[in-house]
Amino acid sequence: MISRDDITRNIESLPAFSQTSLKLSHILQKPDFSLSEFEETISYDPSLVANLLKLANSSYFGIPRKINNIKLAINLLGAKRVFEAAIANELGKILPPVLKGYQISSTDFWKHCAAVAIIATNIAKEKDHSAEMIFTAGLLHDLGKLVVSTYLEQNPSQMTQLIETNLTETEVEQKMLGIDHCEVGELICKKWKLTSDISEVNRYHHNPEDTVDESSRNIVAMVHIADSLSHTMGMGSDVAELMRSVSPWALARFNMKTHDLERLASESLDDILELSEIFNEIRSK
Amino acid sequence: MSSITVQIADYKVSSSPEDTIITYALGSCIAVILYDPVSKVGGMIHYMLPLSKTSPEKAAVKPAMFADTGIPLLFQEFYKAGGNKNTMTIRVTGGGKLYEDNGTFDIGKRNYTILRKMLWKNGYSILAEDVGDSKSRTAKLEISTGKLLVKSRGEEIEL
Repeated sequence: MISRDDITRNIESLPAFSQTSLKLSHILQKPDFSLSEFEETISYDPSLVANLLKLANSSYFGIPRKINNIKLAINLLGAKRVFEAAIANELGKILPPVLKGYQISSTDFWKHCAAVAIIATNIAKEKDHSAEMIFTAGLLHDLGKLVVSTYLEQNPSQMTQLIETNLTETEVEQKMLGIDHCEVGELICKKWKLTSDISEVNRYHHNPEDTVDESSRNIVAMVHIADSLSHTMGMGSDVAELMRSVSPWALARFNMKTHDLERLASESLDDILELSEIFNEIRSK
Repeated sequence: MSSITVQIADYKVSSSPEDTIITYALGSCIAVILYDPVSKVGGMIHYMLPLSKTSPEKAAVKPAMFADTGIPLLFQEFYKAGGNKNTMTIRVTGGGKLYEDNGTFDIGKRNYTILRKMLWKNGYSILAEDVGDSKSRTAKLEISTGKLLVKSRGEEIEL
Protein backbone atom coordinates (compact mmCIF):
# COMPACT_ATOMS: atom_id res chain seq x y z
CA MET A 1 0.00 0.00 0.00
CA ILE A 2 1.33 3.37 -1.02
CA SER A 3 1.24 6.02 1.66
CA ARG A 4 1.29 9.80 1.58
CA ASP A 5 4.67 9.66 3.30
CA ASP A 6 6.19 7.54 0.49
CA ILE A 7 5.13 10.19 -1.96
CA THR A 8 6.36 13.16 0.03
CA ARG A 9 9.69 11.37 0.52
CA ASN A 10 9.90 10.82 -3.24
CA ILE A 11 9.63 14.60 -3.78
CA GLU A 12 12.81 15.02 -1.75
CA SER A 13 14.67 12.83 -4.21
CA LEU A 14 13.60 14.81 -7.30
CA PRO A 15 16.44 16.31 -9.33
CA ALA A 16 17.05 20.04 -8.91
CA PHE A 17 15.36 22.59 -11.14
CA SER A 18 18.11 24.70 -12.71
CA GLN A 19 16.09 27.90 -12.47
CA THR A 20 17.77 29.52 -15.48
CA SER A 21 14.32 30.09 -16.94
CA LEU A 22 13.13 31.85 -13.79
CA LYS A 23 16.19 34.10 -13.82
CA LEU A 24 15.45 34.90 -17.47
CA SER A 25 11.84 35.68 -16.61
CA HIS A 26 13.07 38.06 -13.92
CA ILE A 27 15.39 39.81 -16.40
CA LEU A 28 12.59 40.03 -19.00
CA GLN A 29 10.42 41.96 -16.56
CA LYS A 30 12.96 44.71 -16.04
CA PRO A 31 12.08 47.77 -18.11
CA ASP A 32 15.71 48.22 -19.25
CA PHE A 33 16.68 44.58 -19.85
CA SER A 34 19.39 43.77 -22.37
CA LEU A 35 20.11 40.68 -24.42
CA SER A 36 23.67 40.65 -23.08
CA GLU A 37 22.28 40.07 -19.60
CA PHE A 38 20.30 37.20 -21.08
CA GLU A 39 23.40 35.81 -22.70
CA GLU A 40 25.37 35.85 -19.48
CA THR A 41 22.67 33.96 -17.56
CA ILE A 42 22.35 31.38 -20.33
CA SER A 43 26.08 30.83 -20.60
CA TYR A 44 26.06 29.19 -17.15
CA ASP A 45 23.67 26.51 -18.40
CA PRO A 46 25.42 24.30 -20.97
CA SER A 47 22.37 22.14 -21.74
CA LEU A 48 20.37 25.26 -22.56
CA VAL A 49 23.16 26.63 -24.76
CA ALA A 50 23.19 23.37 -26.70
CA ASN A 51 19.42 23.33 -27.08
CA LEU A 52 19.18 26.97 -28.17
CA LEU A 53 21.73 26.29 -30.92
CA LYS A 54 19.77 23.20 -31.92
CA LEU A 55 16.55 25.20 -32.02
CA ALA A 56 18.10 28.06 -34.00
CA ASN A 57 19.38 25.53 -36.55
CA SER A 58 16.16 23.50 -36.69
CA SER A 59 14.08 23.28 -39.82
CA TYR A 60 11.36 25.02 -37.81
CA PHE A 61 13.15 28.34 -38.20
CA GLY A 62 14.53 27.53 -41.62
CA ILE A 63 17.72 29.61 -41.39
CA PRO A 64 19.95 28.67 -44.34
CA ARG A 65 23.31 29.29 -42.66
CA LYS A 66 24.71 27.48 -39.65
CA ILE A 67 24.23 29.32 -36.35
CA ASN A 68 27.13 28.36 -34.10
CA ASN A 69 27.34 31.04 -31.46
CA ILE A 70 24.89 31.69 -28.69
CA LYS A 71 24.73 35.47 -29.15
CA LEU A 72 23.54 35.02 -32.72
CA ALA A 73 21.04 32.37 -31.65
CA ILE A 74 19.58 34.67 -28.97
CA ASN A 75 19.28 37.54 -31.43
CA LEU A 76 17.61 35.31 -33.95
CA LEU A 77 15.13 33.67 -31.59
CA GLY A 78 14.32 36.77 -29.55
CA ALA A 79 14.02 37.03 -25.77
CA LYS A 80 10.53 35.49 -25.54
CA ARG A 81 11.39 32.32 -27.49
CA VAL A 82 14.66 31.92 -25.58
CA PHE A 83 12.75 32.06 -22.32
CA GLU A 84 10.19 29.50 -23.55
CA ALA A 85 12.99 27.24 -24.73
CA ALA A 86 14.64 27.53 -21.30
CA ILE A 87 11.53 26.21 -19.54
CA ALA A 88 11.09 23.48 -22.17
CA ASN A 89 14.73 22.52 -21.60
CA GLU A 90 14.29 22.29 -17.83
CA LEU A 91 11.04 20.34 -17.96
CA GLY A 92 12.44 18.17 -20.75
CA LYS A 93 15.17 16.98 -18.38
CA ILE A 94 12.72 15.67 -15.79
CA LEU A 95 9.84 14.47 -17.97
CA PRO A 96 9.82 10.76 -18.86
CA PRO A 97 8.81 9.99 -22.49
CA VAL A 98 5.40 8.85 -21.21
CA LEU A 99 3.61 9.77 -17.96
CA LYS A 100 2.25 6.26 -17.63
CA GLY A 101 -0.07 6.91 -14.69
CA TYR A 102 -1.99 9.46 -16.74
CA GLN A 103 -1.48 7.63 -20.05
CA ILE A 104 -0.12 10.74 -21.73
CA SER A 105 3.08 11.25 -23.74
CA SER A 106 5.48 14.00 -22.66
CA THR A 107 4.76 15.73 -25.99
CA ASP A 108 1.03 15.92 -25.21
CA PHE A 109 1.71 16.85 -21.60
CA TRP A 110 3.86 19.76 -22.77
CA LYS A 111 1.17 20.73 -25.30
CA HIS A 112 -1.32 20.94 -22.44
CA CYS A 113 1.06 23.07 -20.35
CA ALA A 114 1.68 25.32 -23.37
CA ALA A 115 -2.07 25.70 -23.92
CA VAL A 116 -2.66 26.68 -20.28
CA ALA A 117 0.21 29.21 -20.33
CA ILE A 118 -0.94 30.87 -23.55
CA ILE A 119 -4.66 30.97 -22.74
CA ALA A 120 -4.02 32.25 -19.20
CA THR A 121 -1.76 35.00 -20.57
CA ASN A 122 -4.46 35.96 -23.09
CA ILE A 123 -7.09 36.12 -20.33
CA ALA A 124 -4.82 38.42 -18.31
CA LYS A 125 -4.31 40.66 -21.35
CA GLU A 126 -8.02 40.82 -22.16
CA LYS A 127 -9.12 41.42 -18.62
CA ASP A 128 -6.38 43.98 -18.14
CA HIS A 129 -4.81 42.24 -15.18
CA SER A 130 -1.12 42.62 -14.80
CA ALA A 131 0.15 39.18 -13.93
CA GLU A 132 3.83 38.94 -14.64
CA MET A 133 4.33 35.33 -13.68
CA ILE A 134 1.21 34.01 -15.37
CA PHE A 135 2.90 32.48 -18.42
CA THR A 136 5.47 30.63 -16.29
CA ALA A 137 2.88 29.63 -13.70
CA GLY A 138 0.66 28.28 -16.49
CA LEU A 139 3.48 26.21 -17.96
CA LEU A 140 4.37 24.80 -14.54
CA HIS A 141 0.85 24.33 -13.12
CA ASP A 142 0.85 20.50 -13.19
CA LEU A 143 4.25 19.76 -11.61
CA GLY A 144 2.59 17.38 -9.15
CA LYS A 145 1.72 15.01 -11.98
CA LEU A 146 5.41 14.26 -12.54
CA VAL A 147 5.55 12.52 -9.17
CA VAL A 148 1.95 11.30 -8.81
CA SER A 149 2.08 9.56 -12.21
CA THR A 150 4.57 6.94 -11.02
CA TYR A 151 2.24 5.94 -8.16
CA LEU A 152 -0.95 5.84 -10.25
CA GLU A 153 0.95 3.68 -12.72
CA GLN A 154 1.18 0.88 -10.16
CA ASN A 155 -2.58 0.33 -10.41
CA PRO A 156 -3.83 1.40 -13.84
CA SER A 157 -7.04 -0.66 -13.76
CA GLN A 158 -8.16 0.92 -10.47
CA MET A 159 -7.58 4.36 -12.01
CA THR A 160 -9.78 3.57 -15.04
CA GLN A 161 -12.48 1.98 -12.85
CA LEU A 162 -12.66 4.98 -10.55
CA ILE A 163 -12.98 7.39 -13.48
CA GLU A 164 -15.88 5.27 -14.75
CA THR A 165 -17.65 5.84 -11.42
CA ASN A 166 -17.77 9.57 -12.25
CA LEU A 167 -15.08 10.79 -9.90
CA THR A 168 -13.00 13.77 -10.98
CA GLU A 169 -9.26 13.42 -11.57
CA THR A 170 -8.26 14.86 -8.20
CA GLU A 171 -10.86 12.73 -6.38
CA VAL A 172 -9.42 9.60 -8.01
CA GLU A 173 -5.91 10.59 -6.90
CA GLN A 174 -7.13 11.24 -3.34
CA LYS A 175 -8.91 7.90 -3.21
CA MET A 176 -5.96 5.92 -4.55
CA LEU A 177 -3.08 7.72 -2.83
CA GLY A 178 -4.50 9.93 -0.09
CA ILE A 179 -2.97 12.95 -1.82
CA ASP A 180 -3.57 14.68 -5.17
CA HIS A 181 -1.29 16.25 -7.79
CA CYS A 182 -2.16 19.75 -6.53
CA GLU A 183 -0.82 19.15 -3.04
CA VAL A 184 2.21 17.32 -4.43
CA GLY A 185 2.76 20.19 -6.86
CA GLU A 186 2.88 22.66 -4.00
CA LEU A 187 5.47 20.54 -2.18
CA ILE A 188 7.60 20.40 -5.34
CA CYS A 189 7.39 24.20 -5.66
CA LYS A 190 8.57 24.55 -2.04
CA LYS A 191 11.46 22.15 -2.66
CA TRP A 192 12.50 24.02 -5.79
CA LYS A 193 11.97 27.40 -4.11
CA LEU A 194 9.66 28.61 -6.88
CA THR A 195 7.71 31.84 -6.33
CA SER A 196 4.56 32.00 -4.23
CA ASP A 197 2.38 32.57 -7.33
CA ILE A 198 3.62 29.36 -8.98
CA SER A 199 3.20 27.44 -5.74
CA GLU A 200 -0.38 28.71 -5.19
CA VAL A 201 -1.27 27.91 -8.83
CA ASN A 202 -0.05 24.34 -8.34
CA ARG A 203 -1.97 23.94 -5.09
CA TYR A 204 -5.29 25.53 -6.02
CA HIS A 205 -5.76 25.35 -9.80
CA HIS A 206 -8.58 22.81 -9.35
CA ASN A 207 -10.30 24.78 -6.55
CA PRO A 208 -9.23 28.41 -7.06
CA GLU A 209 -11.71 29.84 -4.55
CA ASP A 210 -9.69 28.23 -1.73
CA THR A 211 -6.46 30.09 -2.61
CA VAL A 212 -4.84 31.17 0.64
CA ASP A 213 -2.51 33.93 -0.54
CA GLU A 214 -4.85 36.81 -1.41
CA SER A 215 -2.36 38.32 -3.89
CA SER A 216 -2.39 35.08 -5.94
CA ARG A 217 -6.16 34.73 -6.27
CA ASN A 218 -6.41 36.34 -9.73
CA ILE A 219 -3.58 34.35 -11.24
CA VAL A 220 -4.91 31.06 -9.82
CA ALA A 221 -8.42 31.79 -11.14
CA MET A 222 -7.09 32.62 -14.61
CA VAL A 223 -4.98 29.44 -14.74
CA HIS A 224 -8.03 27.44 -13.63
CA ILE A 225 -10.11 28.83 -16.50
CA ALA A 226 -7.25 28.26 -18.95
CA ASP A 227 -6.80 24.68 -17.70
CA SER A 228 -10.52 23.95 -18.15
CA LEU A 229 -10.58 25.50 -21.61
CA SER A 230 -7.48 23.66 -22.81
CA HIS A 231 -8.97 20.30 -21.77
CA THR A 232 -12.19 21.29 -23.53
CA MET A 233 -10.17 21.96 -26.68
CA GLY A 234 -8.59 18.50 -26.44
CA MET A 235 -5.15 19.93 -25.65
CA GLY A 236 -3.36 17.23 -23.68
CA SER A 237 -6.08 14.72 -23.26
CA ASP A 238 -5.02 12.19 -20.60
CA VAL A 239 -6.77 9.24 -18.99
CA ALA A 240 -9.03 11.48 -16.88
CA GLU A 241 -9.83 13.52 -19.97
CA LEU A 242 -12.78 15.81 -19.24
CA MET A 243 -13.44 14.56 -15.69
CA ARG A 244 -12.99 17.89 -13.94
CA SER A 245 -15.19 20.59 -12.45
CA VAL A 246 -15.24 24.26 -13.31
CA SER A 247 -15.34 26.81 -10.49
CA PRO A 248 -18.32 29.19 -10.90
CA TRP A 249 -16.42 31.54 -8.56
CA ALA A 250 -13.54 31.87 -11.06
CA LEU A 251 -15.89 32.44 -14.01
CA ALA A 252 -17.76 35.12 -12.08
CA ARG A 253 -14.55 36.83 -10.98
CA PHE A 254 -13.64 37.53 -14.61
CA ASN A 255 -17.18 37.63 -15.95
CA MET A 256 -16.38 34.79 -18.37
CA LYS A 257 -19.12 33.85 -20.83
CA THR A 258 -19.18 31.16 -23.49
CA HIS A 259 -18.40 33.63 -26.28
CA ASP A 260 -15.33 34.86 -24.31
CA LEU A 261 -14.10 31.27 -24.11
CA GLU A 262 -14.68 30.68 -27.81
CA ARG A 263 -12.78 33.83 -28.73
CA LEU A 264 -9.89 32.84 -26.42
CA ALA A 265 -9.77 29.38 -28.00
CA SER A 266 -9.68 30.73 -31.56
CA GLU A 267 -7.08 33.36 -30.78
CA SER A 268 -4.80 31.05 -28.79
CA LEU A 269 -4.68 27.98 -31.06
CA ASP A 270 -1.85 29.01 -33.42
CA ASP A 271 0.42 30.10 -30.55
CA ILE A 272 -0.26 26.85 -28.70
CA LEU A 273 0.72 24.74 -31.72
CA GLU A 274 3.88 26.82 -32.21
CA LEU A 275 4.96 26.52 -28.60
CA SER A 276 4.31 22.76 -28.74
CA GLU A 277 6.76 22.54 -31.63
CA ILE A 278 9.54 24.21 -29.61
CA PHE A 279 9.47 21.31 -27.17
CA ASN A 280 9.46 18.74 -29.96
CA GLU A 281 12.50 20.38 -31.56
CA ILE A 282 14.37 20.40 -28.26
CA ARG A 283 13.41 16.81 -27.53
CA SER A 284 14.34 15.53 -31.00
CA LYS A 285 17.67 13.77 -31.31
CA MET B 1 -0.77 1.52 -45.49
CA SER B 2 -0.39 5.22 -44.91
CA SER B 3 -1.97 7.19 -42.14
CA ILE B 4 -3.20 10.74 -42.70
CA THR B 5 -3.62 12.81 -39.55
CA VAL B 6 -6.24 15.53 -39.39
CA GLN B 7 -4.93 18.23 -37.04
CA ILE B 8 -7.28 20.39 -35.01
CA ALA B 9 -8.91 23.00 -37.29
CA ASP B 10 -8.16 21.02 -40.45
CA TYR B 11 -9.75 18.52 -42.84
CA LYS B 12 -8.54 15.77 -45.17
CA VAL B 13 -10.09 13.85 -48.06
CA SER B 14 -8.71 10.68 -49.68
CA SER B 15 -9.62 8.19 -52.36
CA SER B 16 -6.56 5.95 -51.94
CA PRO B 17 -7.60 2.52 -50.62
CA GLU B 18 -4.37 2.15 -48.62
CA ASP B 19 -5.08 5.31 -46.57
CA THR B 20 -6.41 5.68 -43.05
CA ILE B 21 -7.61 9.09 -41.91
CA ILE B 22 -7.21 9.67 -38.18
CA THR B 23 -7.79 12.48 -35.69
CA TYR B 24 -6.87 12.61 -32.00
CA ALA B 25 -8.20 14.14 -28.76
CA LEU B 26 -11.43 15.70 -29.94
CA GLY B 27 -12.53 17.10 -26.56
CA SER B 28 -15.46 19.40 -27.33
CA CYS B 29 -14.36 19.59 -30.98
CA ILE B 30 -16.34 17.59 -33.53
CA ALA B 31 -15.24 15.26 -36.30
CA VAL B 32 -17.60 14.89 -39.26
CA ILE B 33 -16.80 11.85 -41.37
CA LEU B 34 -18.04 11.49 -44.96
CA TYR B 35 -17.76 8.21 -46.84
CA ASP B 36 -19.04 6.97 -50.17
CA PRO B 37 -19.02 3.14 -50.28
CA VAL B 38 -19.42 3.14 -54.09
CA SER B 39 -16.57 5.42 -55.14
CA LYS B 40 -14.63 4.66 -51.92
CA VAL B 41 -13.91 8.29 -51.14
CA GLY B 42 -13.64 9.40 -47.52
CA GLY B 43 -13.20 12.71 -45.74
CA MET B 44 -12.90 14.02 -42.19
CA ILE B 45 -12.90 17.46 -40.55
CA HIS B 46 -11.85 18.29 -36.96
CA TYR B 47 -13.43 21.66 -36.18
CA MET B 48 -13.11 23.45 -32.86
CA LEU B 49 -15.85 26.09 -32.69
CA PRO B 50 -19.34 26.72 -34.10
CA LEU B 51 -19.24 30.13 -35.74
CA SER B 52 -16.62 32.05 -37.73
CA LYS B 53 -17.97 35.38 -36.50
CA THR B 54 -15.99 34.62 -33.31
CA SER B 55 -12.85 35.53 -35.26
CA PRO B 56 -13.27 36.35 -38.97
CA GLU B 57 -9.48 36.91 -39.20
CA LYS B 58 -8.72 33.35 -38.05
CA ALA B 59 -11.50 31.97 -40.26
CA ALA B 60 -9.88 33.60 -43.30
CA VAL B 61 -6.63 31.70 -42.68
CA LYS B 62 -7.97 28.51 -41.03
CA PRO B 63 -11.58 28.06 -42.16
CA ALA B 64 -11.74 24.53 -40.73
CA MET B 65 -11.49 25.99 -37.22
CA PHE B 66 -15.22 26.74 -37.44
CA ALA B 67 -18.25 24.63 -38.38
CA ASP B 68 -19.85 27.24 -40.64
CA THR B 69 -16.74 27.88 -42.76
CA GLY B 70 -15.13 24.42 -42.53
CA ILE B 71 -17.93 21.93 -43.19
CA PRO B 72 -18.82 23.33 -46.66
CA LEU B 73 -15.14 23.00 -47.64
CA LEU B 74 -15.09 19.35 -46.56
CA PHE B 75 -18.15 18.61 -48.70
CA GLN B 76 -16.68 20.45 -51.71
CA GLU B 77 -13.40 18.53 -51.52
CA PHE B 78 -15.26 15.26 -51.03
CA TYR B 79 -17.34 15.80 -54.18
CA LYS B 80 -14.28 16.96 -56.10
CA ALA B 81 -12.53 13.67 -55.19
CA GLY B 82 -15.46 11.67 -56.59
CA GLY B 83 -17.81 11.33 -53.61
CA ASN B 84 -21.49 11.09 -54.54
CA LYS B 85 -24.28 12.78 -52.61
CA ASN B 86 -26.76 9.94 -53.27
CA THR B 87 -24.59 7.12 -51.93
CA MET B 88 -22.57 8.91 -49.23
CA THR B 89 -22.93 8.52 -45.45
CA ILE B 90 -22.33 11.06 -42.70
CA ARG B 91 -21.05 10.03 -39.28
CA VAL B 92 -20.28 12.32 -36.34
CA THR B 93 -18.22 12.05 -33.17
CA GLY B 94 -16.77 14.30 -30.44
CA GLY B 95 -18.58 17.20 -28.79
CA GLY B 96 -17.55 16.15 -25.28
CA LYS B 97 -18.00 18.31 -22.21
CA LEU B 98 -16.39 18.93 -18.85
CA TYR B 99 -17.88 16.75 -16.12
CA GLU B 100 -19.07 19.53 -13.82
CA ASP B 101 -19.80 22.91 -15.32
CA ASN B 102 -22.70 25.35 -15.27
CA GLY B 103 -22.89 25.19 -19.07
CA THR B 104 -20.39 27.97 -19.82
CA PHE B 105 -17.88 25.48 -21.21
CA ASP B 106 -20.36 23.45 -23.20
CA ILE B 107 -18.86 24.37 -26.56
CA GLY B 108 -19.39 20.74 -27.60
CA LYS B 109 -23.15 21.13 -27.52
CA ARG B 110 -22.95 24.36 -29.52
CA ASN B 111 -20.68 22.63 -32.03
CA TYR B 112 -23.23 19.85 -32.41
CA THR B 113 -26.29 22.14 -32.67
CA ILE B 114 -24.83 24.17 -35.54
CA LEU B 115 -23.89 20.97 -37.38
CA ARG B 116 -27.43 19.61 -37.10
CA LYS B 117 -28.82 22.90 -38.39
CA MET B 118 -26.45 23.02 -41.35
CA LEU B 119 -27.13 19.41 -42.36
CA TRP B 120 -30.90 19.75 -41.95
CA LYS B 121 -30.98 22.93 -44.03
CA ASN B 122 -29.20 21.14 -46.88
CA GLY B 123 -31.22 17.94 -46.67
CA TYR B 124 -28.55 15.64 -45.22
CA SER B 125 -29.02 13.15 -42.39
CA ILE B 126 -26.58 11.55 -39.96
CA LEU B 127 -26.12 7.78 -40.28
CA ALA B 128 -24.45 7.21 -36.89
CA GLU B 129 -22.98 9.27 -34.09
CA ASP B 130 -21.15 9.05 -30.77
CA VAL B 131 -21.24 12.53 -29.21
CA GLY B 132 -21.38 14.27 -25.84
CA ASP B 133 -20.44 12.97 -22.35
CA SER B 134 -17.20 13.72 -20.55
CA LYS B 135 -15.16 11.81 -23.10
CA SER B 136 -12.37 12.87 -25.39
CA ARG B 137 -12.35 10.74 -28.51
CA THR B 138 -10.05 9.61 -31.30
CA ALA B 139 -11.57 8.70 -34.69
CA LYS B 140 -10.06 6.48 -37.41
CA LEU B 141 -11.51 5.91 -40.90
CA GLU B 142 -10.34 3.16 -43.27
CA ILE B 143 -10.74 4.34 -46.85
CA SER B 144 -10.86 0.86 -48.42
CA THR B 145 -13.79 -0.32 -46.24
CA GLY B 146 -15.36 2.80 -44.71
CA LYS B 147 -14.89 1.24 -41.28
CA LEU B 148 -14.90 3.97 -38.60
CA LEU B 149 -13.44 3.30 -35.16
CA VAL B 150 -13.96 5.70 -32.25
CA LYS B 151 -11.75 5.27 -29.21
CA SER B 152 -12.14 6.80 -25.77
CA ARG B 153 -10.73 5.84 -22.32
CA GLY B 154 -9.17 2.75 -23.86
CA GLU B 155 -12.45 1.47 -25.28
CA GLU B 156 -13.01 1.22 -29.02
CA ILE B 157 -16.37 1.13 -30.78
CA GLU B 158 -17.30 0.86 -34.45
CA LEU B 159 -19.57 3.59 -35.70
